[in-house]
Amino acid sequence: MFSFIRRKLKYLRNRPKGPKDEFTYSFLSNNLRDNIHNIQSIFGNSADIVIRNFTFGKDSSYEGALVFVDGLVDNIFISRSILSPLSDWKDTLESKDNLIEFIEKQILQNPEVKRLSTYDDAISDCLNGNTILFVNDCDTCLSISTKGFEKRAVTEPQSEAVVRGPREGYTENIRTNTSLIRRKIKSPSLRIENYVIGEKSKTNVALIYLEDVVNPDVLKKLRSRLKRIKVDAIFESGVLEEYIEDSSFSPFATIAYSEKPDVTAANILEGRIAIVVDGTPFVITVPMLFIESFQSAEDYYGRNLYTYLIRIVRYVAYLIAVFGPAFYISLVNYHQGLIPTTLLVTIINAREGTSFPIIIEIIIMLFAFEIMREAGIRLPRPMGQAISIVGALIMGEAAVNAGLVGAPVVIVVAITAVASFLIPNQSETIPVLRIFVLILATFAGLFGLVIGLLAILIHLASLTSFGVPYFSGFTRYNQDSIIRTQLKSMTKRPEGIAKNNIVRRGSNMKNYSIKENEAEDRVGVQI
Amino acid sequence: MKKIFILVFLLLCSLFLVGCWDAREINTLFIVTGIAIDKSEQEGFFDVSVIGIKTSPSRGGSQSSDDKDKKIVLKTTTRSIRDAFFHLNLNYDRTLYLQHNQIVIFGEDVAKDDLHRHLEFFVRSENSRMETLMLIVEGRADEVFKMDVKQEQNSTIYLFTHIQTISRRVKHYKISVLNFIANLLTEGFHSVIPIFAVNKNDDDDMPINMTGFAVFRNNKMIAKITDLEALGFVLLKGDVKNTNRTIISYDGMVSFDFDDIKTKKEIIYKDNYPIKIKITIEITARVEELLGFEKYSIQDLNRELHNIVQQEIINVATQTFKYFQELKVDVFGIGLSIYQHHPKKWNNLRNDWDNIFASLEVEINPKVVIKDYGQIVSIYNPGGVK
Amino acid sequence: MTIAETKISGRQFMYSIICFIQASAILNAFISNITYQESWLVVIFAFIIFIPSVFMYGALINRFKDKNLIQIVIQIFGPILGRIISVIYLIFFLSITMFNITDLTDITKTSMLPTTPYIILVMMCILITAWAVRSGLRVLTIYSKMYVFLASFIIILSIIFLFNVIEIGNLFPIFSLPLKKYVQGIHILNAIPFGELVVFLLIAPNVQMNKKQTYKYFFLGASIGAFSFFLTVLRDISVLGETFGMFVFPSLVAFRLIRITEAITRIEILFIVILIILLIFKISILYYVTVITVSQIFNLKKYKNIVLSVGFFLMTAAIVLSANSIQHTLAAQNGAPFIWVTLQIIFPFILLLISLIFNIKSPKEESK
Repeated sequence: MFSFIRRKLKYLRNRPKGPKDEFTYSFLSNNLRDNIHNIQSIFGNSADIVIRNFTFGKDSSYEGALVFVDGLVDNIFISRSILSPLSDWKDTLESKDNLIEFIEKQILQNPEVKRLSTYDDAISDCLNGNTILFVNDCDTCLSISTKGFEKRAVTEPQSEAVVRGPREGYTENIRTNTSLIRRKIKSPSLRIENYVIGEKSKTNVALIYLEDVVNPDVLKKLRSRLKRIKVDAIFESGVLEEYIEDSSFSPFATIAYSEKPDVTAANILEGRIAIVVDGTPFVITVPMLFIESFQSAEDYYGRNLYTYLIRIVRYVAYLIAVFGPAFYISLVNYHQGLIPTTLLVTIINAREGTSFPIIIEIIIMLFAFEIMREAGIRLPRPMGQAISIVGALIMGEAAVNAGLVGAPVVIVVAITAVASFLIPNQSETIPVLRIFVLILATFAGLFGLVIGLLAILIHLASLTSFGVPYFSGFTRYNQDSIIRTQLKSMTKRPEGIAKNNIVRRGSNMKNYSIKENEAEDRVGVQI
Repeated sequence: MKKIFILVFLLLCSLFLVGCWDAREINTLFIVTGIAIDKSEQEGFFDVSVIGIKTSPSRGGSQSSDDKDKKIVLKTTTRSIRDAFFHLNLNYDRTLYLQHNQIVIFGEDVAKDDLHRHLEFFVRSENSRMETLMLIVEGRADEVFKMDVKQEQNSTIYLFTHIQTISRRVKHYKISVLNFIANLLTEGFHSVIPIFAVNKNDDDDMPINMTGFAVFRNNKMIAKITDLEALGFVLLKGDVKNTNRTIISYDGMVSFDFDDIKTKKEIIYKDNYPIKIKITIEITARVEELLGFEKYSIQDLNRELHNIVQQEIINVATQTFKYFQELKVDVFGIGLSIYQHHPKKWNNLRNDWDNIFASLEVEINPKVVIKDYGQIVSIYNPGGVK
Repeated sequence: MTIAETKISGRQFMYSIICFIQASAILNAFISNITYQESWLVVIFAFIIFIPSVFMYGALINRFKDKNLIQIVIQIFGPILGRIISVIYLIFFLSITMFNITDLTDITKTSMLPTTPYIILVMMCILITAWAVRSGLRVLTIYSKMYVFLASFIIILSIIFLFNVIEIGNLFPIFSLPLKKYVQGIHILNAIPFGELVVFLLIAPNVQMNKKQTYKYFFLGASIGAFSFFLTVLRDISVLGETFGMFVFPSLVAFRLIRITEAITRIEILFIVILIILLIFKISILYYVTVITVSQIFNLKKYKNIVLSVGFFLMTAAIVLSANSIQHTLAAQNGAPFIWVTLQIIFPFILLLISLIFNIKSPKEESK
């Protein structure tokens, strides 16, 4: 036993401390050959790094080299905007000191040109799709933006389909995504801050917020958490989520995501901060309230009264999805007196022919449903729909006929499963909570179910999302949380999120009335 | 802090893994829907039978519909009811489950001899519900379980539905255990229980009929009332939605539906001593069937019918009241209303109330309004002289 | 977490008070076999007699802003004598908590889970409430509004559903019992549901309210709570009639009688769920108060560390106590009211008198 403790202590002392930093911060040299040689050795002679040497100026007096990555740049753009004007310039300068500046300001025709002086700046820009221009006898280089890689077009997002509303969705390119948001919020106080996270992937991450509405404490916390991340690669916003969120062992997600720009824009206008990660079409917003999972974008584009109903249906569906199986099992195993007599007789008749206890039946059916769901995601598209429908029908029907499970259990699990699809944002928390409450209800009946409910409530109450309490937002229940009132009465932004600028819109906006229109009409009639 | 979590978690595990104590698989239960109690030949012993639902495996919706297979009757003979359930649990393969019990049936001989001692178990046990109905059967109670019912699952479910149906019109046809116990404890009030009789004729599709009420005094049944007195009792108690009466008079036969019977009682005192009771019965009547009365015009018919009804009600009610006065049993709650509104006066009258009740003068004051005559206006007389 | 850090709003304070009294409303068996059918009168009189105490509590809170009851005692009586008195209060709070845990497990065991051993139920209850207490006062009271609305909804729903079984005549006669029964009933009611509001003196420093609002929230909370208690008793008596004094758990029997068509039957399940939630809320507040008292007596800065220790103590005490429910009922009726009324009403009154006579006040704050 002591050797185990000793080994553990030794491991703790000599633990590796994190990924090592790449590159060195060394500066460029004057000599073109040295620069090129260094670049080639850093890249290790990769096949897609292209180095184009050329000469320009009067009598080819100057030497230059272009370094770019084939596949990330637009070749025609390079030749037309860099090589062509350079080769047309047939002059010399008096001194070589401001050659680079002259090229940058007078010759090149690209819209975005930067001057760099270290190797790792040059390398990272080159890997981002820029072209690096080295000139002999100059110790700075120019980084010219020539991005031209393949990217997906803006299409309808697949995970959030709407009946009415814009159908644009984000793509994998960070600049396209931020431009989509810019098109929704045309205010100059919309700020975009760029971070580079990930040692090997150097992923661009952009923070977007409205300066006069955002909560400065949340912004400060977010910035410090982003700076703290030391990791190899970030490919998806979900990975970033886990590194910056408040408590990662909680089943509830404290950071929201979306694939549609209008949803993100609405969140930004309420004072939240959006984080766009290069390489994924899912944009995350911070902080998140529990209530957001029950709101969908369509709620605001549709009719008022219909949305009341739909919101109530969503809340009830959430309760059914989490507590359904637990409630069924506590009634059927513990409190048979609470079921009406005829229903109880039906359930007993269904149970007579089967061999497993009801709790085992429920677990089998829940497990089978999860299998079918996963299989439906992984199957190739043409086969997917047919097999999942046929599988569901046949499995349910045949299982009941073979006597493995009883019919009421199939119904309960089916309703529970379908109800959990109503709230897509919570689809990862519902199975976890469902199993927890199910286990408690198996051991202690209805008392256990109540204890489980209270445990979930207590956990929700103590959860925070970047300092904002997770469960707030129910206080202004008549505006946007439980039901959605008319748009003109939603006059204030949510409390914890927007500290500075609470009033959302003017509170004396009236609806047009018929009388107004009639008065206008009457004026026009004059004979 | 992590150590505390682990400790707590292990503690929880160790307790939960012992087992769930209260879980009962539903196919190990025998659902009792009716209990019948009779006197046995042995002195001090009782025959207790229970009837329950037989469940059969149903796959794909098929179920056996053979009549003999739908019910299961268990019998035993013991001294007390709790003993009976213990005995039955010991000797049957499934556990008795009492929470769905709908009816408790007492035989006539049990009712004559201290009924409430059997009810003590039902009030005290946590498994029984207070809304269980109770009734008395003429003869032996387990005859009810032998009844052949075609539509329902077993005879107690039939009875329960039967009582629910008839009590929607007259709520006094149904009495639950709670009501009966409350009545027994109430001062100045004696209770009645509906009494049924099993039809001995096997061909009949109506296996059980309600014959009237059983009157209780001091927890023992002392008399049965039928027909006329039952109607009078219902009229005098009031608070009835719908009942009917066919009156045959000199000129013809008319059948009335009495809707919304409301009864008010007013006690007239002399020297703080009640001597007379005035009962006002308000009835809204409807003519349902009318035969005869050819010589009358519409207005005369109206007046005549009013007279007929009022006379009939006075007769029936007075006869019933006098019958109860002879029995010296105050089933109408007159003493109770004195107790509730003038408790000081009641203190003097409490001990002698039965005699005082027997000596009260009664005056019935019916207020009948014949509201509607149905779909036809004139008198129905096809083939007669116009 | 230190004690005076979190601030809750005045409205949540009021809703907590209402919830507290509603939780006791469901267990009205402790006066039902003393005053039988006139319990509703006793409730009205008990509340009228309790109103001066409400204003006394408000005055005490206002005079000593930001100090809870134990701190007031220590300030007035000095460190040594004050601590001795605080220990008496600690025993008092511990016994209230134990009684309530016993109530919860008794009710659960008799109506829902007859053969489960006490230890499982007590342990689950203690674990959940310990978690809530560790998370702080805000988590404890945040759902009070929702609980109040749920409980009121259930009470009103039950009255509507029981309309065809209610008989107003069951409420009469009035004033037919000897006077001493009324006095006993009023005494018990002042001790058990109403007097327990003294624990809110320990929560009041964490509430954001000014002087006028203290009186308003306390009074509104107590009166709405007493009103729902009154409605419950009224409903039970008018449904059960003479049998009201017989049952251990009258409200459950009343709920079982609801039967409107075949569909709406057997809905006592709603009632049981709400009852357990309310009782756990009450136990968690009492637990919090006990832990605060312990930490004040021993001058601890954080109370988070002793929560579980107090919890285990409560657990063993509750298991021992719950073995004998008849003694529990007898103690609640005969013995408890005298001691408890002294600690709940008379002693704070003495504190207020002393502070008025000798002009001892808490120093005023500069802000607000």
